[in-house]
Amino acid sequence: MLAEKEIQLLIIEDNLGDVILLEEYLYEALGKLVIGKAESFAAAQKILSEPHRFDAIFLDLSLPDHSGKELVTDVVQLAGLVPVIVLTGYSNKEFGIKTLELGVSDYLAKDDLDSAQLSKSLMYSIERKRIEKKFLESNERFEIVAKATSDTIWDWDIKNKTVLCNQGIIRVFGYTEADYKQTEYWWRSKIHPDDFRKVISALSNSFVKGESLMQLEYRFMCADGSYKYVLDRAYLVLGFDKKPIRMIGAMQDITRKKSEEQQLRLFESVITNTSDAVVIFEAHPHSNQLPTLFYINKAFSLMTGYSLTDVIGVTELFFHGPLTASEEVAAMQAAMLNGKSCTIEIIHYNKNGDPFWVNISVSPVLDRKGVLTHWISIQKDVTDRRKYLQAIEEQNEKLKDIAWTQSHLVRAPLARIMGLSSMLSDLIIDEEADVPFSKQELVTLINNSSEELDKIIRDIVQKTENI
Amino acid sequence: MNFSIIIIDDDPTIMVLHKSFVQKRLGIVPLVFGNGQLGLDYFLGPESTADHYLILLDINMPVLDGWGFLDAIQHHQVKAKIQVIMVTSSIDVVDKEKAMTYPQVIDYLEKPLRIAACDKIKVLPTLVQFFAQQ
Repeated sequence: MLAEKEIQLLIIEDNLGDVILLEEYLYEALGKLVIGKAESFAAAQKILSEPHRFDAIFLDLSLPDHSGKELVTDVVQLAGLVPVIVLTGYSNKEFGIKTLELGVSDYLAKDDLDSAQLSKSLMYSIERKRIEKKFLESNERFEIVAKATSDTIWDWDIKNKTVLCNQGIIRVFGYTEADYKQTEYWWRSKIHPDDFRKVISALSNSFVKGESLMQLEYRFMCADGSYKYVLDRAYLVLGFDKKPIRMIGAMQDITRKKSEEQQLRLFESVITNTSDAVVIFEAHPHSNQLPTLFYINKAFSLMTGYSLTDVIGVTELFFHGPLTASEEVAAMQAAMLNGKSCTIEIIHYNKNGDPFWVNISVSPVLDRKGVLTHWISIQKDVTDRRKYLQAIEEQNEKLKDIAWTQSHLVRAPLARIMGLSSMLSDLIIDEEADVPFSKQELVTLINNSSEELDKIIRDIVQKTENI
Repeated sequence: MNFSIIIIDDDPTIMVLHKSFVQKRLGIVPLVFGNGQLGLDYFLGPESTADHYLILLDINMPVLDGWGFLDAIQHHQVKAKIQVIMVTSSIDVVDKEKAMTYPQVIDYLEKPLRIAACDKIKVLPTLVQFFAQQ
């Protein structure tokens, strides 16, 4: 694999003879090579400070301008992720070993050099660095994720009884490192008493069965004594003997989700159990399609006889019939077209085809972005009230009729009697008074009018009795 | 400038009473018609030659009632200048309000006519000129 691509090397060595020797071995071992050379630390520093992509660096331990431990430290730092292979003279082989602690990948005695050994060291060093780099990257990625996530990531070493956590335990629950380091007993003590059995039995179940993945919802106590709902997802690591040795998990704070769920359940129970009929229609704001039914509650089924499967997907029009007032329907549709709520009373038809009066209040439901998604229709059977109202209206008509009779029919003969009697009194006062009737005529006319009045009043009494 | 008074009422007794009152208190012998249709026929015919008319109009009458008569004179372009006083047994406010919506209606009196009411008619601003000469 190494031979397939050109390998770039840097040789930091002041002894030209050693450089030539090294180059020769290298060419022999690897063939394709690009070699950079630095005869001093200053030169190496210059080369390494520029952009480069060396696969490995060979470093002589004594340079004219720098040497020893400090030289190694500085070069290793400059090299970054590039492996550094130290070349030692026979005299300081001991020191060569020590350089490994300073981050050097390998050390080679100049006197023992041969191409096979060189090639092997070079390949191992490069490969090891590559793995190290990968590991560092993945570790870094983990660190970033652990910091970025709002979850509490924990690592429980079962055998050694220690626990490690990320910042989540501090941020979300308010604990300090000293708190959680008290092992798993600490964690157990923070589980809500009502959830304790559930959690512990699930955990031991997982241990016994050797299931690697588990997921649990429970309440976990915060530093201030309050509880948060958490979703804890864990991965169990088993040892050679299939016994659990370690468990890693992520604890997600789902308190808000839980309280929303509880609230939703509460609202749902209101809708389900209310004595008013509730219908939810799905709006189709991007088309001309009328809202289509997608939920009905029990009260609606009781009122209409329809089950959800009977009516799912239908529009409001489904419940209309010949007696449904089209003006009322048009008024409702106009309001709905403008996204406004409205209340109307119209005739609907139940599953048996019988008409009934229903009071309907429709209200729009908007999503977070303000887009109309649903209509909630609250419906009440008002047939009884309507009938009652109708009865009152009919009665009212009758009373009006009587009042009209009173004012028109009763007053006609009465007015006549008043006129005639006033004329009669004129005649009584003055026998010669100029009146168009004789006394006798006046009396007869007054009698006739009285009879007429009597008949009218009897009619009214009869009408009143019939109300 | 000639001026006539017309009574339109279906009640014969009232008719006699009112005719007598008008004659006595207003000094003019009125023409009488038994219902709105007879009154309308008069106005649409050749005999209605006076320039000004005062009509004492009843509401409830057979054939054509007071409302029908009022509607008809709006509809037919009657040449003569007509002023109407409703004289009715109805004490219904609705009737009174309705009557006052017709441009010809100048007053609303309840039956039976009385001396005081007749004297009031004489001094109504739009009528006073016709009685002043007497």
